[in-house]
Amino acid sequence: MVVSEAKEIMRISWGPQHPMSGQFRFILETDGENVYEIIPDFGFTHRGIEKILEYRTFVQGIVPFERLAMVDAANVGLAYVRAIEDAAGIEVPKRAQYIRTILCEISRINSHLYAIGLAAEAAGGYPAIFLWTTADRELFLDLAEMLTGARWSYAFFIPGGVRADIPEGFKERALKVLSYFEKRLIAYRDSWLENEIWLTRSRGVGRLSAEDAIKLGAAGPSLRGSGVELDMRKEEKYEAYEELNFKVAVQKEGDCQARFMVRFLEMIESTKIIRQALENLPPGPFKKPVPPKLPKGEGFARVETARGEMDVHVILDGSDKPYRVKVCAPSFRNLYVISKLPKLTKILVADVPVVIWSFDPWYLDADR
Amino acid sequence: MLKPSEIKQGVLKPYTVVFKHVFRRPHTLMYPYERLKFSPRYRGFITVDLEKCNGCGMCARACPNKCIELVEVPGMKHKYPKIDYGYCCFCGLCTDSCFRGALKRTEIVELSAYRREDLVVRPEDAQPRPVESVLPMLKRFITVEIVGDNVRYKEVR
Amino acid sequence: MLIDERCIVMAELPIPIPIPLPEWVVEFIALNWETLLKIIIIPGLAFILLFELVAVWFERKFLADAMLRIGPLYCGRVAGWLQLIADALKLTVKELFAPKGAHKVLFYAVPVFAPTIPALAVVLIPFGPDWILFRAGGAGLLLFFALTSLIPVLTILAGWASNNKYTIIGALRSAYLYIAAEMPLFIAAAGVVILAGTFDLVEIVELQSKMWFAIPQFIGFITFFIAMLGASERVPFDIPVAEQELVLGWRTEYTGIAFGLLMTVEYACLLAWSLLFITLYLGGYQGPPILGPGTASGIFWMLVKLGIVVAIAIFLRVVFPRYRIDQALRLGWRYLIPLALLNIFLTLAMKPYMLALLK
Repeated sequence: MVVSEAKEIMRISWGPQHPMSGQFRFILETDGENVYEIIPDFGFTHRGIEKILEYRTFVQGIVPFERLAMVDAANVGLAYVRAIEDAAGIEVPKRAQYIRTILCEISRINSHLYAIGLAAEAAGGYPAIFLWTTADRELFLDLAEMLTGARWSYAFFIPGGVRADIPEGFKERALKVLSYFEKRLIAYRDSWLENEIWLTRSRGVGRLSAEDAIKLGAAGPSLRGSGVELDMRKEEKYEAYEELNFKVAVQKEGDCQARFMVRFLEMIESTKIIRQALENLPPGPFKKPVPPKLPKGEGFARVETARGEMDVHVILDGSDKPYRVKVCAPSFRNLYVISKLPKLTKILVADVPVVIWSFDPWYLDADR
Repeated sequence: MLKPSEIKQGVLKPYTVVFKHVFRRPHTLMYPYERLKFSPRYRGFITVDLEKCNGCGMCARACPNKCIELVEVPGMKHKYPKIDYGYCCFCGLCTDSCFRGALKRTEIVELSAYRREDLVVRPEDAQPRPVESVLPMLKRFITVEIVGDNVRYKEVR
Repeated sequence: MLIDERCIVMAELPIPIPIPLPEWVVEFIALNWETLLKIIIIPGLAFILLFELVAVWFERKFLADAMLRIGPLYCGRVAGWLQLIADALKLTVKELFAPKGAHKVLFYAVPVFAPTIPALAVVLIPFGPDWILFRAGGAGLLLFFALTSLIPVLTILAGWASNNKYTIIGALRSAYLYIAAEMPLFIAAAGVVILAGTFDLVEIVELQSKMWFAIPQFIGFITFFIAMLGASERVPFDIPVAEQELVLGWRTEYTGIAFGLLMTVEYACLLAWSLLFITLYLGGYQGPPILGPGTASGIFWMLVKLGIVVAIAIFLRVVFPRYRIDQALRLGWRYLIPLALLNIFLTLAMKPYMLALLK
């Protein structure tokens, strides 16, 4: 055919006005079939959160901070709070640690369900899986609402503990939701993860080897899907994760299917963590009084969000607002890996949505 | 070529699993005839109790978006909080910081208006009201119940 | 008197028509009322349009149930059955324009001709022992394949006439896909023809009175079904719909009622191929062999079978994602064609045994 023999490189804007791109612009250099380069174009959703935080007190600052990745708000908010506690040397009571763990795992389940649903839509499925995950997330959102008062934007962690205690009826409701959810996970595995055509679309696509993943700096399920066992919950041993019994989900192949299996297995581990935390909830206070002005210091915290490791570096100067906050976001690193991927493996234009959503970037995270 | 077990698991099993979902109840709420009943901690519209408030301004200081301003109310002693819902992010820091209990959270979220000026609510207008007053077509409140393998919507008073 | 003569002519009609018509019209209707019924009602215009309505309604409601939501609800008092008509009305009032530099005649001709080709193919299908519009002198199957082969020609014309780099790529991909899907269809149908010994669709149905061809021709049955989905561009082969940088391939530049007509092409193709599938493999207008002949009319059985086959094909949409174009072509060329050829070898080798089964 005349058209495909021309082999001219077209620049296509997989842009913000696009059904499957999210709020971001990728520039693809392709000749119609093979993709030679994927260039992410940053800055569309930059809001200057790091600068905003310099004008908010510590308790006020948790509200803009979790807008970095709202779908996973608990884990992200935890990073900021832990950095401040690390800088000022505040010790958090045990009960607050367990409550934080429970909310973080609920948030992780929400985020992974959303990612699985969007990937199903990216592969072209008429959104059955997406709507099932939305319907199942409703139960977890109601659970979080029972605890914090909001479905998504929790703003629940403050330096020194959490804002409120676990209400009555939460434990029974949570156990019922978890047992229902485990049956739904079987339905997802049967109808999607072993779906023949989905496996054809995602096996062997976008393969990332372990050395490349470490060298390029992948984060989160993208790293663990390539065989590298690195999870901040086991490394840093923060909150109550030290006392709870769970495994780190790792897969060896490094293609899109492996990254999805990692997310799927992490959801199963999260249900186990929530169950154990609810059983062994220690009594005691749920927050500790913290003075509004904190002494000078520097703090650093690493937290495993649903998308990977998030690092927050905080510098305090003795007033009631931080002097400087620096966030190292996981999606930024994953976008770098995506931009290097066409040189490592062969990617066709039709694979681009599946590959991008298997890395699960959250663009507000990357742009901050 | 596919093995027979792969065909059964990869092609026929998804078909039957998805087909069984046809017989489940849909997860759709017929809003505005039905509405979920939120928990007591839900962070919605904020009501001001004019008797309890003492005009200390802690709420205005706690707000991250600076949307609370203290204004005079005709006929009352001191200043009371006026909230601009165009900027409010419903974080609940103001209600938590009020140690007199004058600011309370409700479960009303139907706050849309035609003009931006209508989103600013003065303290004498921020009084508790039932949900039916903002949602006149409402017939039922619904809670979500898990019954066995299914999720049911149950009516609750 | 004149009034008496006209009353006599009118009394010859099976249904009395109370409108005063000229005599030649009344005579024409009285002589050809069967053919007119076939052309207009079934298997003619009304059937095809009603099928579109029901198929789209079914797709929206049934798939919505599988996705745990409610489909169209308010349009039309009962379960939103008028939703498609509302959408079609909305499309008619939209602006109809062709892109700059497009070949206007071809651009507007394609949406007019494209839905008529599958409709023409439906004409050849027998709905009863003598309820067939055009018997084609005993070559119904060949004429069916000849007619449906015109579809990729129209897609390429539409893609070329749009004056857009991406639509021509999309149209060529759609043509590749159609060719890869059509070959297994021919070869599987050739297996049926070898067994039946005739190209005539009515005789093929008559030969299935003891056992449907699905059982001796099992491999061809499966192959035909999968390739049929590819030929009518249903999921998992709806690559031209949401590929090519996620605009609609060769249909990109169409707006308004032209777009609406092109959407009906998909369902008309599904109808035509499903009817052929039922005729070749599932016994056509005859009932199940257990029940014996004469239980219910041919049209009833055709509608029942059509309902089942179309329901299965439509429900596939919610279960599976879509293939990549090279994977779909690989499936067609590397797997389906050898399977269909295997079917022919088996038929040739075991023809006497199969004929003994059918007697």
